Amino acid sequence: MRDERTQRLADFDLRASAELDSTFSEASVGTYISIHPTADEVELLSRLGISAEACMKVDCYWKHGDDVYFLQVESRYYANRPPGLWARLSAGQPPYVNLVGVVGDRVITHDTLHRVMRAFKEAGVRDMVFGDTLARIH
Amino acid sequence: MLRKDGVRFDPARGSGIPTTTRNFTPANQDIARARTGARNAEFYVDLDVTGVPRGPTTVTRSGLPEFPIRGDLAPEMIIEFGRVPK
Repeated sequence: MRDERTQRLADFDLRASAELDSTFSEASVGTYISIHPTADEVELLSRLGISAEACMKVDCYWKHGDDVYFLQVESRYYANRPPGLWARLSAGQPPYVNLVGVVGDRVITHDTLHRVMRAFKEAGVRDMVFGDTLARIH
Repeated sequence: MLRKDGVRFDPARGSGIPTTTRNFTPANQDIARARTGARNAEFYVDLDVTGVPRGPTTVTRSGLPEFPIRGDLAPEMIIEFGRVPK
């Protein structure tokens, strides 16, 4: 049986190949697959018939280093916790490290996502061990 | 688990239990995963969550509304359940 990290990477590659319009690369953070639209995707928001104000939360699968993380970036107007960086281990097959970045911004843009990803990188999330409830790491 | 014991909302694990509209019947598990972002989509459960606290509604890139449920889900809320085709 493949190890859990290999399963996460394989699942990421499978999703990325099937969801080209949702897959983004940025030199400073790497590659991620976004589940929700961001407030700066004007054309997509128009197609969906929603306003930028609806983009209070963006989930993504984020390939960081040699693993994949489930990242949730939430406006403080959406989240049930104060701004900051939070993380936990989310059970499942395979399990994922669930990163939650709560920001003071009213809506989430690609710049917001990249800023939060860089903050998790700088916090050294790759070297941390987590329990099953969200712990504040910054 | 939901059918037997329900699911307790634990605020220490996130901002809500993600759910979407009943008006979504995916043809297979790959489509369900792609449109909802779910890690796994082997089963579906339709629930009547009338009166259960929820957070702000967001929308996925595929246009599905998403409601974070911020209350406990009980087995008696189940309207229908089943397996999503492979």
